[in-house]
Amino acid sequence: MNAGLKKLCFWAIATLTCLTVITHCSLSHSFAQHGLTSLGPPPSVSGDRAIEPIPESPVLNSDKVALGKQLFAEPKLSHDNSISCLSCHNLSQGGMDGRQVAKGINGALGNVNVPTVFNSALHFKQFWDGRADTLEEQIDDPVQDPREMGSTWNEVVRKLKADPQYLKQFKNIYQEGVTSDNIKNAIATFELSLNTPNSRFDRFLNGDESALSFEEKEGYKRFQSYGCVSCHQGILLGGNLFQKIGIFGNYMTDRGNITEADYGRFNVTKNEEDKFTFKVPSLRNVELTSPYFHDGSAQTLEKAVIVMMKYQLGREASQEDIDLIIKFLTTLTAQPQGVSP
Amino acid sequence: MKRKRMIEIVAAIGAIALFLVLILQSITIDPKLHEEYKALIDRQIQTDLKINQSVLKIRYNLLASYDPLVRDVIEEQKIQRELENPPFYLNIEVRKQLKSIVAANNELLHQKIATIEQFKSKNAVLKNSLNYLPKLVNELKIEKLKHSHSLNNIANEMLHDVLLYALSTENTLTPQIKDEIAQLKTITDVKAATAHTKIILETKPDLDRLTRSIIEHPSSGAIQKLATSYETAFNAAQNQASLFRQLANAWLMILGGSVAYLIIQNQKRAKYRTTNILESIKDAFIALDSDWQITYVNPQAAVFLEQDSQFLVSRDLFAVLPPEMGAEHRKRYQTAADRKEVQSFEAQHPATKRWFEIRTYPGMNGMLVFLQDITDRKLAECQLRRLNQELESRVSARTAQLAQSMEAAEEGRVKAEEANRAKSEFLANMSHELRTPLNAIIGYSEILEEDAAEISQEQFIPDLQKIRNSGKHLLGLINDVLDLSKIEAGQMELHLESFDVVSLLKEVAETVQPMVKANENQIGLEIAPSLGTMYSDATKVRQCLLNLLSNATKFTQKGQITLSVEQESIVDIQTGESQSWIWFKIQDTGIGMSAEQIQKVFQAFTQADSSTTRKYGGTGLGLAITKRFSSLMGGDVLVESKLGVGSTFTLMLPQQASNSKTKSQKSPHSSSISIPPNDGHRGTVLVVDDDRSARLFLRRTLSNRGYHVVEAEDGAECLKLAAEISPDFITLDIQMPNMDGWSVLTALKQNPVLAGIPVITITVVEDSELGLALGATEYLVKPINIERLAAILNKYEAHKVIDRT
Repeated sequence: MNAGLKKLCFWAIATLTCLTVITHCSLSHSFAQHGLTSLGPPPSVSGDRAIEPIPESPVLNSDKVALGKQLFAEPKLSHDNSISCLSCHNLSQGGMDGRQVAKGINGALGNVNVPTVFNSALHFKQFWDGRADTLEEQIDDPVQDPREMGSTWNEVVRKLKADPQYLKQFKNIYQEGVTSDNIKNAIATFELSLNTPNSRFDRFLNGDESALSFEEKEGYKRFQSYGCVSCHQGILLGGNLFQKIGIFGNYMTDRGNITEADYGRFNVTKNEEDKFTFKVPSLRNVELTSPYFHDGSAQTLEKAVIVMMKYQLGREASQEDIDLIIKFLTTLTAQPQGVSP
Repeated sequence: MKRKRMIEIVAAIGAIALFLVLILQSITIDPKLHEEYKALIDRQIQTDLKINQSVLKIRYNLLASYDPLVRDVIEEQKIQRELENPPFYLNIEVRKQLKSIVAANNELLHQKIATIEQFKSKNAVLKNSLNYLPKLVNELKIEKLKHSHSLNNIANEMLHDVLLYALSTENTLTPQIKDEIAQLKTITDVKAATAHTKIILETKPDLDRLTRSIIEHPSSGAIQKLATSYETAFNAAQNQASLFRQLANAWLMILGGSVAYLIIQNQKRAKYRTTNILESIKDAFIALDSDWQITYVNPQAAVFLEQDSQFLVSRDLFAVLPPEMGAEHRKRYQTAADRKEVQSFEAQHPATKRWFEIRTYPGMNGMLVFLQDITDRKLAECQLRRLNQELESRVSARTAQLAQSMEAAEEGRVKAEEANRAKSEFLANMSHELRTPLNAIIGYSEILEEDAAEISQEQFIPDLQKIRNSGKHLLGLINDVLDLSKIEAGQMELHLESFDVVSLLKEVAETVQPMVKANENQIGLEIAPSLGTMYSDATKVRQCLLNLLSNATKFTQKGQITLSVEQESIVDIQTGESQSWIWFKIQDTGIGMSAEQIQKVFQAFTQADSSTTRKYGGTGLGLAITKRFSSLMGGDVLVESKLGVGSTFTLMLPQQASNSKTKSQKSPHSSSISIPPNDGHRGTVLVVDDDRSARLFLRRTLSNRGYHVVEAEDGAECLKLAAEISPDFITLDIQMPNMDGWSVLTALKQNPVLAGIPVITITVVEDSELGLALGATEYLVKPINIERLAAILNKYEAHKVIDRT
C-alpha cells in the first residue's frame, strides 16, 4: 500500500515536471526583435502630392534620446578623443559642418561633403552613395573610418565603460549595459528626434496660405514647372531615389579632377549604369547646409540652382526665376524639435 | 533486491523520458509563431503587389512622389529579413530548404530593387523631359517658327508624335520623330528640343523595359513558392505532431494503466498479507470503527466468542462481548479510544470460563482489539500459588523441627561434654589409683633384684628385670593416659620456671642416646648460640622433645637424626610486641609418612598405621600429648614428611610462656604491620589463619625462602590488609570462625582490585573443586607440604615477572 502510494506520487511528480518543462520550452521560443531603426518615409505618406509635409516626430524613449544626445557630443567615440558626431553635424548649423568635405582626426579630410543629420531617419538610405540601409549601419562608418573618428567599437566601449556615469546610464536603459549595439541604438534614437517638421512650407502645404509670401509661392510654382520636383519630391524633397549627376552634359568632365568618391553609387553596386549616381539630397533646410553637392563644389544656393538647371534639367532659367526658387527653398527651413536654433 | 529496485527505477525513468519526448514532439508547433510567419509571407506578397502597383502608378503619373514606393520597398526588405528565420518547429532539413528559398528570394528582391532604383531615376528624367518638351516647342513656335507655317506644323506634329510615343508601348513612331527633328534642325537651332527629344526617345524604351521587368519580376512567384513550401512543411510538421500526440496519449494510458495495476497489486498483496497474519495468529482480533461497530474479526475471535464471524461483523462490540469482557470494562475501552493509548486488562469469559488478556490499540479511525487466551497461564499461576503456600507451611514445620532437634543436640552436647569430663576425671583418678600398686610392683621388683644379686640368686634377675620393665612400661602408659586425661579434663597445669635450654637439650640427648644406638642411628645437635634461658614448663618441654626424638629413633634405622634449635623474634600482630621463639627441629631420615598419615599423626591413640604399633611399639599417644603440651605452652608442633625419605617435626615454643590458660587472642582491631621491609624479598605473602601457630609456621618457612610475610587472623582482617598492602599472594585457611575461608575467597574475587591476587587455600577439608570454583589459585591440604607451597609460589612469581615485562 505504502509502496504503491510512493510510486503514484513519483509518477505524478514526474509528469508534472515534464509538463512544466514543456510549457517553459514552448514559451521561451520567439523571434528575437530587430533592434534596427526602420528608415524611409513614414506610412502616412500618400504620394498624392509631389511634396508632403514632414509628419510629427514619433514618441521616443526620452532616456535613450538623452543618452544618445550625450553620446552624439562624446569625443571619446574618436580615437584621440578630439571629435564627436557633433563636430561634423553641428546641430545649430543645419546639422552639418559648413565645410566642403568632412574633417576627421588629425585634420584628415574626407572625400565628400557632410550631409545634414536632420531628417536623416526619413532618408531611404544613408550616405551619398546609399551604402547604409539603417542609421546604426551609418554610425559604424564614421566611428571606424580612419579619416573620420579612426576608432574601433572595442575601444569606444572600453572608454565608455571606464566612466561610471555611462555605466550607470546604460545599465538603467539596457540590460547588457555598454555595448556597441546599445551605443548605436542610443545615437540612432537621438537622431530620430532630429526631424524638422513644421517648416513654413509644411504649414503652407497643410493649408496655411499665409505661411508663404507671394514670391515664395511663385518660387514654388517655378520649382515645379522647371522640373526640379521630378527628383526633389516626397516629404524630404529628395532623399528617396538615386540620380546620375549630369543628364544633360557631362558634369564630371566639366568639373574635372574625378576622384573615386565621384563614382558614387557605382562604388556600392559596381553597376556601370550607377557611375556618377548619387542619392538625390533632401532640400529640407537647404538654406543652412552650404556648400552643396557631394563634392561641396557649390558654395551658394544660386550656384547650386544654376548647376542643377544646366546638368540635370537641360535648360537655363532667368535670374528672376532663380531668385524666386531660392526664396521658395528658404521656406523649407525648420529646427528639429527639442533642439534650440 | 537492490538490483531489482534499480531496474524498476531505470524502467520508470525510461518510461517518463519516452513520454516526455513524445509530448515535446507533439506540442512543438507553436500556433502563434505559425500565424506570424504565415502573416509575414502574406504581407510580403501584398507588399510586392503594392510595389508593382506603385511602379505602374508612377509610370503613368498616377503617383506624384516616390515615397509610397520607397516605403514599400523598405517594408519588403524588412519582411525579407524576418523571413530568414523559419519557425523552429520545422525539422532542420525543411528549415534549410526554406532558408535557401528565402535566400534566393532575397537575391531576387535585390535585383528587383536595383531595377526599381533605375526605374525611379529614368522615370524622373523622362518626366522632366516630357514636362518640358511642350513648353520648349511652344517657345520655339513663338520665337523662331512664327514665320514658317510648314515648320510650325512639323513642330506641332513632332510634339504630337512624342507625346503619343510616350504614351504608347510601340516604338513605331521613333523614325518619324527623328525625321521631324532632322527637318526642324535644318531651319533653326533646336538644340534643347533635340536633346530632350533624344532623352525621351532613349529613356522611354528603357523605362518600359524596366517597368515590365519589375512587373514580371520572378520575385512575386518566388514568394508564392515560399508560401507553398512553407504550407507543405507546416502540414507535414502538424501531421507528425498529431501523430506524436496520439502516441503520447497512448503511452500515457499505458503508463496510467501500469501504475494503477501496480497500486492495485500492491494493495491486494498488503491486504492479503494482513489477512494472513491476522488469521494465522492465535490471538483473537477484532477491528472496530469509531462507533464500536465490528468491521472485521479473525477466525480465532469467532471461536473465542462462540459466534459465526459473518454474524459478528457490523455488530456493536458490547452487544457481542459478554458483559464480563465488554460492558464492565467500558471505561477502559473508552479511555483507549479517547486518549489514543494502548490499554490492557484481563477478563474471564463467563460461559467458557476461559481467561483473556484484552489489549486495545487505537487505529486510524476506530480501534483494534486483541484477545489473548491466558487460561493456561492463569491455571499455572494458581498452581504456583498453591505450591508456594504448601512450601511455606512445610518450611515452617521443618524450621520448628530443626529448632527442636538443635535444642536436643545442644542438650546432648552438654551431656556428652559432662560425660567426657567425668570420664577424664575418672581416668585421672583411676590412673592415680593404678599407679600406687604399680609403684609397689616396680619398687619391690627392684628390691628383689638387688636382693637376688646379693644372695647370688642370679637366675631370678632376668625375670625380675622383666617384671620391673613391664611395670615401668605400664607406668609410662598410665602416665600418658593420665596426662591426656588431665589435658582433656582441663586439669593439666603448667609449672613455669626458668631453665637453661642448652642443658635441657644435652640432658635429653643423653637420655635418648641408648635408643639411638639401639637402631644404629647417628644423632647430631645443631644448637644456635646464646639461646639463653627459657621460662616455661621444663618437664613438659623435655617430655615433648623426648617424644619427638624417641619417635625419630624408633622409625629410623641406620640413619641420621638431627636436633636443631634456633631462636627467632617475631612481632606479634596483636600486641605489636616482639616475642622470642625457640624452634626445635627434629629431622630424621626414617621411613617418613604419606599425606594421609600426616593428617592423623597428632590424633590420640593413633599411629600412622595400626600396623605401626605392632611393628614399632608405643602407645600412640606420644605425638598427641606433645601436640597438646606445646599448645598449652603457647606453641605448636608441625610436621613435614615424605614417605621413604624422612620426617621433620618442628616444635616451636615461646621463650617466655604465660600461664594464662585462656588464649585471649581474639582482638577485633588489628594493629598496623610494622615488619621492616625486607629488601630484595621475592614478594609479599598474606598468611590468613585463625591458628596462630600455623601462621607462625608459614611465616618462618616463607621468610626463610625470601618472602615478606604479613599475617591476618580472620577474614575481616584479611580483606582489610589485602586492600592496604596489595600482597603478591594470599594463603587462606578455610576453617575460621566468623567468616570462613570460602566467604573470604568470594569477597576477594568480587573486589576488582584484589581479584587478581593468587589465593592458595590451605585446609583440612578436602574440597578442591569448591575452592577452585570460587577462584582459588591452588589448593593445599593441611598439614602443609612446604615444598609444594614453595613450588606454587615460585610458579606464580615467574608468571608475575612475565606479566611485569
